[in-house]
Amino acid sequence: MTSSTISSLALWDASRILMSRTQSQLGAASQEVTTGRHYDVGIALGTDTSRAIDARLVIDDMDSIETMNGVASQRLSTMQSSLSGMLDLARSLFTEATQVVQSGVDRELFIDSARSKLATLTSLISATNNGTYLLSGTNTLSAPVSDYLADPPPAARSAVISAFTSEFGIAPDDPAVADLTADQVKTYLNGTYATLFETPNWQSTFSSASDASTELRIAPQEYTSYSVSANDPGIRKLYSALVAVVDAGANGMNADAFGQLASLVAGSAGAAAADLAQSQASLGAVQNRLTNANGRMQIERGLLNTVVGELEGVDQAEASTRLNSLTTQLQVSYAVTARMFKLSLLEYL
Amino acid sequence: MSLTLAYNIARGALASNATAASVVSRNISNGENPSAARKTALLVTDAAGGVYIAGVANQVESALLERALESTSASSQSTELAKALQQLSTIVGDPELEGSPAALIGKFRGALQTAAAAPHDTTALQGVLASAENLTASLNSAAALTASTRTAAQDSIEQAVGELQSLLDTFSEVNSEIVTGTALGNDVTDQIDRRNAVLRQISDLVGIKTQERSGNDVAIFLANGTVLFETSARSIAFDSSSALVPGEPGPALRVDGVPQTDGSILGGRIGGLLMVRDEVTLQLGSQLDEIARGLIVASRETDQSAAPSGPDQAGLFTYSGGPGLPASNTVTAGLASMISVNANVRPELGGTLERIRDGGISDPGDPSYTYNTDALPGFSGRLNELIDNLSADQPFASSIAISVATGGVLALATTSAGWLEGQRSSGDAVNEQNKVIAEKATSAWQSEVGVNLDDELTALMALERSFQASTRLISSVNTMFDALLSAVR
Repeated sequence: MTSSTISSLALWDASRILMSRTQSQLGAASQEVTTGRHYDVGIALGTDTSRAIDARLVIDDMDSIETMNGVASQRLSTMQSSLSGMLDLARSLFTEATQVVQSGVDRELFIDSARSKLATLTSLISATNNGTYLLSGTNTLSAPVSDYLADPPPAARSAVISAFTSEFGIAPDDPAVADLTADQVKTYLNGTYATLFETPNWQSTFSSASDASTELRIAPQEYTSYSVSANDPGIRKLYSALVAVVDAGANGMNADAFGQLASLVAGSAGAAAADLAQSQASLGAVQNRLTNANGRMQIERGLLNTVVGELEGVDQAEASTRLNSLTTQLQVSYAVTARMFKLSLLEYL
Repeated sequence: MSLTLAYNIARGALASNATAASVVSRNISNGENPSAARKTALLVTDAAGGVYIAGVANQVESALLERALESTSASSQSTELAKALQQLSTIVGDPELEGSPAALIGKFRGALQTAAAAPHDTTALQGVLASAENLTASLNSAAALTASTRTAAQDSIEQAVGELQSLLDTFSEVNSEIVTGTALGNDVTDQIDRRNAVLRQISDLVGIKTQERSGNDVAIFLANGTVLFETSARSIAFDSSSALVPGEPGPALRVDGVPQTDGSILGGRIGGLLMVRDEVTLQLGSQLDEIARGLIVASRETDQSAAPSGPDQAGLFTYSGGPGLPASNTVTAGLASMISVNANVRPELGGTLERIRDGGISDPGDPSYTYNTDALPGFSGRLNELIDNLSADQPFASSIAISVATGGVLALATTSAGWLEGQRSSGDAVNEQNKVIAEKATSAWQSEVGVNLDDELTALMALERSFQASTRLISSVNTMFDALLSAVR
């Protein structure tokens, strides 16, 4: 006779297997409840893991871009304030020069004011941030201009003086300067002198700034660049106007010639102010783009963080419910197993 | 009907009772043996009306056993695969820990970004160098892990083949005992249990199908029909002496002269290990090699002179074959283990950090590969170009199981991580399923053929009763004889 029985071993094994499986699920569930993330993210996501990694990469990228945007915007605002300082200088030089032309203000005072303005301009041009010169273009480690009024005079000043000497055959401080006519002064300032401040003389004599533009990566796929430097026309014009007052023999000129010089200086200062405002506007545009990019990235980052959370996270309410039911299940199977082991005929024989 | 006959019948009953009791005790002692089948004493009534034990039969459930064997090998196969993938997945790790090659490429990009914002700053350039070194180290160790997993699989195959051989020897021995014993009419049930145990062990190693033939003989075939055992064990050849070549399948396993290359068909642990050795690690290895090549290509330097004539050269990332670039669009086997940061930017090796910003890494002696010709400290063009190149489209070999149309080496690295975790996730799911099926199938077979202790105890009690009855019968007959003899006297 074959009776249909169940093997005792299989019977006991079943509850053992069930218990060990429940226990391992319990471990996973309890970790999910505490961390709020999948027990094994790779298993849970499969190929979607690449999405999680990708989102995290973009978030990291944006993080570092934002940090660097902060650094860049600090640089840009320092540059802006330098430029505003120069703009003020240009405007006040314009005012003074026009007053000289109209009402013949004290010549000494005008020249002294120009000297001090030149010193201020030099320091504004040499503004630094984090150990680099802001207006040096990409040649960030060298001061864009040297101190014009230093003693002994720098190469730039010698070049200006020798240009004057070769034009008129006398030095700027020679008393014979009084003999120069207004026309001669005009020809000199608009000719030989002006050439000194033009490319490439300006770069070789006065400025060590580079013309190369500075490129900024302001968002994952967005670049912007600015090329405001000491070589900007506004700075050059202001510089040349101030130097003309200091080193074109203004002190010894007759009134006619001096009036000509002052009116030319006023013209230059006016043009410089316009150009400086232009440079400020172009920097402002870059600053604006930077702020916009930061704003956009913030929104995008928020979305991506949600994506990461949705991918890697677990529903904690679900996980804790699961944990509870697994605990109950395990308790039940302990009880059942204990009872089952008592269920042997041997106990009753 | 004579009293002697009753006497004889009672004696026969006692004898068969004893044999049945011994069968019961064999069953009870086999209660914990997962391969043992319940044995039944076959009682036969003889011509005179007595009983005798004609033999002992095993509880047989061929179909369930076949199912158990099949599911065991599927489960062993997927377990090996899942184990290997679990090990390999440490290359990717938890996305939160950001230790995958993809995440490290991201960190490298972050360092480049910092440097691009302050190109004059050697600390920032140092940061680029450090993250580049981290990245190559992680690729190197990923390649090493892949290679060692592969070698471990090869070693395990060798070991498993050895086990298979000795199991086949045992099988051959037991099988011939059974065939001879059956021919002689002996009780061969214990040997059959042993043969089943050996079959289960073999099915753990490799997927098998069995065929029962006359005389209790069993033949074993592989899943693809190759004979493993038929009257005698077939030859198994596995050449493990030759070293594994990166990028190429390892030596084939030959059974009965037939090469077994497809692990998924072969099944069992050996099948799983073959898949690890010739599929998973090969594919992952080639993906890592392509990531390495992608990095070398992304950081390549082009001739910057007015009339470019020089070839592109390996820049920041290079390999032992540099400064020439590795062959495009094909996998260069072992590249991931060869990739390194160019010595020309490493100060400790006589290099200069600023070359990261200025270019001219590939050949410092050749000025035409310098990007920052005026050596301007604020030059960020090359650094920004490197950032862009990391996600610039690149063609990759088509043989690496994944394809990336856009997004360059960064996308390749993330896709590769996704591929690996996808393999692991699906492998794990299949494995869980296989495990449950194997447990169910095995327990179904065990339930049917195994010993139920309560049942055996009941049988023992019944035997006790029948023993008592038989002895009572003998004593009654004895009394009858006594009465008869005293009447005659």
